Amino acid sequence: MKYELVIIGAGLTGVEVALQAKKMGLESVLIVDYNDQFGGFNHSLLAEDAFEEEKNRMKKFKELPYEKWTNATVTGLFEAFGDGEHEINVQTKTGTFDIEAKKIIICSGALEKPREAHKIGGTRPAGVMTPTMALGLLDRGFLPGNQVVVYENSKTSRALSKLLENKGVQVTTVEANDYALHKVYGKSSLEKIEVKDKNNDEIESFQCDSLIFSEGFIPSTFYLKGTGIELNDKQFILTDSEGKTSVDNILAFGYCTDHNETSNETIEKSMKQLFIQS
Amino acid sequence: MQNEIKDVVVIGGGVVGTAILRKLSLYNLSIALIEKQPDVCEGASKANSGIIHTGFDAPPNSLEAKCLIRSRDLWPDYTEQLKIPYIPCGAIMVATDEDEKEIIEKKYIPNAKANEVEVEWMDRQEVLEMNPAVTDNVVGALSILGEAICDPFTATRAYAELAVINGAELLLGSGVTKITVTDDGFEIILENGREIKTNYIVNAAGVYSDHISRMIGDDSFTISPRKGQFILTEEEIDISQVILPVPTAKSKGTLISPVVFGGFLLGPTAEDQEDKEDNSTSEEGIEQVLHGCEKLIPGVRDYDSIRQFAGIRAVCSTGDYVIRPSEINKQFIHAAGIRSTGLSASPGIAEEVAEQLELVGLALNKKEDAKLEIPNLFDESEENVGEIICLCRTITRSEITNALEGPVPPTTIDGVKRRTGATLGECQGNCCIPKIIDILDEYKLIDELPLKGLQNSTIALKGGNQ
Repeated sequence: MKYELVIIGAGLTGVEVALQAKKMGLESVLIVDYNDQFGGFNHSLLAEDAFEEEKNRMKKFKELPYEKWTNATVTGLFEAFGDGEHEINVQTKTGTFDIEAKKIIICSGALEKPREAHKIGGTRPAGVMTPTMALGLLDRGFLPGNQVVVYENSKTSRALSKLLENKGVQVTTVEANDYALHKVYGKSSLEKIEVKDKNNDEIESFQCDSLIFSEGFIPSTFYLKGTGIELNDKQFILTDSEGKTSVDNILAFGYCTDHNETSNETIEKSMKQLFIQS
Repeated sequence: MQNEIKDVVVIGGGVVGTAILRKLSLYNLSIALIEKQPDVCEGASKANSGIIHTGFDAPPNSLEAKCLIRSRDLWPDYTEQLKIPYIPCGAIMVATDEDEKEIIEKKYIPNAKANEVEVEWMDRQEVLEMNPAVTDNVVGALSILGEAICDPFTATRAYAELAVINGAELLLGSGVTKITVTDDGFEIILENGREIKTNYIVNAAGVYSDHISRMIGDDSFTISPRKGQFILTEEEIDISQVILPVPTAKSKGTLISPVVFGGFLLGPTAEDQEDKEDNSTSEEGIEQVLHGCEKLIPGVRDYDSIRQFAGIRAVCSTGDYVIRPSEINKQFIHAAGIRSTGLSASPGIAEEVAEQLELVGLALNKKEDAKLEIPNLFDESEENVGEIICLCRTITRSEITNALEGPVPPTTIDGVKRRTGATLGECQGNCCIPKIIDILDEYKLIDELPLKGLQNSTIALKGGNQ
């Protein structure tokens, strides 16, 4: 299989790249994503009111005539030699595919950094999770708990608080600007958390059976280790301000890069350059 | 089968209990193992350094040293037969000044000799060549070539799996509430109300082995919990061996060890406590680990950690392993007080226990068709391995379903973790746990609500979007 452009990751950035590709008239485009739906790890939140623009973007994306694969994860990437094509291995439900691509745009995003990455003391009971996991549970007909504390530090976490409240869950929100997660209690299941006031170091505690917490990001660049694409010491893809990676004809945008968010203008400009030069 | 009288029931599904079950499964016996938690390997066996110790520093002539010595000869076959990931990387005890060198020369070299463990002095240059990340202050190290690292999850599970393949019964998820001594044996009552009759009991209940012992009125030993906190990192540390400190009079110190399934472990602390289950980590504990480790490897403080955890070691009032019949009832054999070398000594402990059982009258007749090897459960060349489930660790769907089809299928997320490595990566399962729940559900392994690991560790409640 051979494509003009392969887009790795169909989160909001990858979706924007696909829409731009259509505007530019590209025909042979493949977009692959690990999740079972498009729109990123937190795709089910996009139905909420706070995400009007994103919702429209997703609607337009669904109408694109491109090949779109869900449950499709890139496990290997081999950059082109000379004038050859790049090659990627994509693992799917029905097998592993070796795909050739003239150009690749990496939008594989980042995963939420969980409690465990922050050396927060206490026990490790069930019930402590990131927004992504909470959404995954909601999608499957579960609730994360009856008494949930949400650590609010993003549009995602705030929307999730609302969503849980609407489901009748008792939600306590903790504002990340004011509080740091301090300690976790409970043997098999979560019983209590402590937070520390960032202004005066005072400890406050909350009884709860679930804590939704994440802080910071883990770039989803696992498949790039050992390739020619240079990563920084935290494994984010090194790019210039226009998304150029260390390999020709491979761009990277969004949270998987060392530039975090990429504006739609930058995506448009960089993609035009990428396809005009060839 | 419900009312059949067992020959032997092993209480405790840690590495010691399952090793004993495996050994007994090679004989014509009707045997069972009782584990309170929903899976094997839920206590000290899951939260340790994963090092196979030689016993170079064990008290000479102790039962612990004896079991470690016996185990050394058994491990090579076991790792192969049971397919236990195992790396014979060796360990070095690093001296950072002349005083530490002297302690090694005066104490550890003679101790190793007494336990028949081969050790040699490694000079500064060689230490740094093999382990460039070690501090420049190193003056040399004691090299213990026989030390190795292995996967304690696989070890524990594989013991249980082989036993099950050989006909042993595993009773998971319900602990012992009562033991009654009968005319010719015992009657055990479980939390779920089930009654089990058996002629012999092996008490391998870890930190709870004193509780189990007291159920028949034997209070000959007490177990004190000792917590050990660890830090797991996936940073690249330029070492090829286990890096040990020279212990001081006050503390055994903290080590840095490669992990067979990736990354490095720093720890453990040694904190005596009352609570047998308090495995919380603390700022002070983590600081103690970092403080200890940075003396050996500068810069550890700046490493990102993907997880911190603590295990509870079973420290015995007698100061040594307790492997003997109870004085109250000879048909009740203790395998208790297995302080911190349980994984390393498990093959030897199983041999000792079998001999003790034979001494008190159990007939051990070899089962002719007993298997010694875990069969290859899946063909790795299989073309369609399914989609990627665990993104951080690139674990496929078929790696998970193969585990679910094994002789001891997991029913919890942590059970899947210990069998496949899924959820062990940086996101700690937050991205793939919902997908794993789907698969467990498909295999009808979830009772009502999905569990993380322990009894009652429900991950979620009913009532979401669907």
